[in-house]
Amino acid sequence: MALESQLLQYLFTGVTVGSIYALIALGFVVIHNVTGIVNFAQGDFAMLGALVAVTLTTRTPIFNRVFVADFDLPLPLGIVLSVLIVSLIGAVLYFLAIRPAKGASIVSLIIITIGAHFAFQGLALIAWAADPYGLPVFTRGGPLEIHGAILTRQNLWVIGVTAVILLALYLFFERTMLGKALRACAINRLAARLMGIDANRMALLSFVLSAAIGAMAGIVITPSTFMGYDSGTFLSLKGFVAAIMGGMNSATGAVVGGLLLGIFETVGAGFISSGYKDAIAFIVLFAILFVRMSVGVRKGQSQFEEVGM
Amino acid sequence: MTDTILEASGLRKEFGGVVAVHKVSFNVARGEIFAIIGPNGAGKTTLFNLISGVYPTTGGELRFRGHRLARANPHERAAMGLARTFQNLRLFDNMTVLENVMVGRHTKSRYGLMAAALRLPTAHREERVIREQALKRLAMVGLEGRAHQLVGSLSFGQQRLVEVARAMAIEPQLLLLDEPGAGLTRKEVEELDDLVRRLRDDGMTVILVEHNMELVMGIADRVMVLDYGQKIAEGTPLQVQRNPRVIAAYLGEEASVGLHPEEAYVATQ
Repeated sequence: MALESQLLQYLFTGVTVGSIYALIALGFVVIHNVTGIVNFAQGDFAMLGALVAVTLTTRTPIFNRVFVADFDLPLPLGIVLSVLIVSLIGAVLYFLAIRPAKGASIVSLIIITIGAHFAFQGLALIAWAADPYGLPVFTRGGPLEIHGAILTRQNLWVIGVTAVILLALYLFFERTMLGKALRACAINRLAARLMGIDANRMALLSFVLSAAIGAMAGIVITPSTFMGYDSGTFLSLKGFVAAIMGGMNSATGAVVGGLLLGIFETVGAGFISSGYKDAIAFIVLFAILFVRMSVGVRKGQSQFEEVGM
Repeated sequence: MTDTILEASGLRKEFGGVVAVHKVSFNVARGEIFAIIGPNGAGKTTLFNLISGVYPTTGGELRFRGHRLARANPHERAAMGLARTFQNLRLFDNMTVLENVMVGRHTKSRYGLMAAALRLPTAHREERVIREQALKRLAMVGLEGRAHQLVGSLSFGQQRLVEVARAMAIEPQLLLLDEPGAGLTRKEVEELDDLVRRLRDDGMTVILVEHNMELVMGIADRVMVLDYGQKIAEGTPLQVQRNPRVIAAYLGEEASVGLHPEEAYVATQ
């Protein structure tokens, strides 16, 4: 393969993988901006989205093969239902774990989300066992070949769905009153509350929104990669790195961070060794934290302040 | 008593062992401009925080339009018609001037997520109305020409006016202004003076905490003086100015007209 087409191939793969990281990172940013919480169960929303969609559309043995889910819904309907169900799970997480801890420090709330991650993972293990699951590709047909690089139709779906979600989020935040209220809450919670905005309602909304985005990410990637009960962990970590790359507060930053991370990983895996693929994300994370920390120290400000509220 | 909009009786606030507000009682009549003054640390801003619900009270009772406020959250108080501005500006930095004011009209928005997401005509029309109403508020403070700039690009004095416009967007019955004159130029203070009078003439009740004595004495119908968290005087500006306890509290500042040291500090920031 010529170097040119090889690079193009890395770019295609990187952007596809990066789109998923970008969506997970967006989920992190939405919740973090509104509540200050870093939700480490974000990747589990993706896992749940995928597994629920699989269960609804194909014959799936569940609960230690005691039951067989035989809904056999058409794929589009199954996807929509799965996104709705996971949004509901996001709301349940908020009401059961976050809301009752009202007044707790941000660090405690973050630890609660780590607990939620293990709870989701455990429940998924009970429901779906340790099997890998896949979904059929959304549209059949051969891959596209551009300058010797391969782009599958599912890759196009991933990139397209990401683009549509980004556009929808942009319109929501910029063009609707509810979106403005959410942004106001993110910028200055106290002032927003005194302007009549119910901060708890906005926090709930941020969890529902992030769960929905996560679910869509999980669903759209499952035809290309297998999804299992423990897939949430790595998705969370990669999304977290992408969100940090983007500054944790910026939706645009999260998307750029996600795409860059995807490209770094693919290029690194291609040129060095695929064994280093996951290490690259964390090397990037350490490098960014190191740089930001030293910049912060030079400015004489505490990074904790920035991370906290 | 029928036209009393806010009644405070025996208000008390402790932080740890420190008593910031101690048994403060006062009534504010509908349509008046009520000023709260006192030396630094007298508990003025704490009192505002109690009224707007930022802090829970330790004791005493607050009634707004006859309703007990104790259990109402800040956003519920805003919906009841209580709005405030801050001593240190708290604007939504990454938003335009217009968006800041539009957020103030949030309580008037009736259509939820689904309607907005689906871009239903009703939600669309509502947003246009909110936008127009917000522009009208901006026109009242003379900033309609700046509507689409980011709020951070405005001068301090203009940002202060945006905060007032945002508070007005709630269509409050009671407006709390926390040191509205701090950091403003003399000309801006005059404009503010004029604006507050116009608001009162439109039927709004205004409570202000202020260090600028010229502004307070010129504008207020009644003045309450706090010192060490306690009320030491209440009356017309003239009565308060002649009160020996007030003069003692200000210790030599009784003749001060114009720039208070704290104001000068804020202005240099």
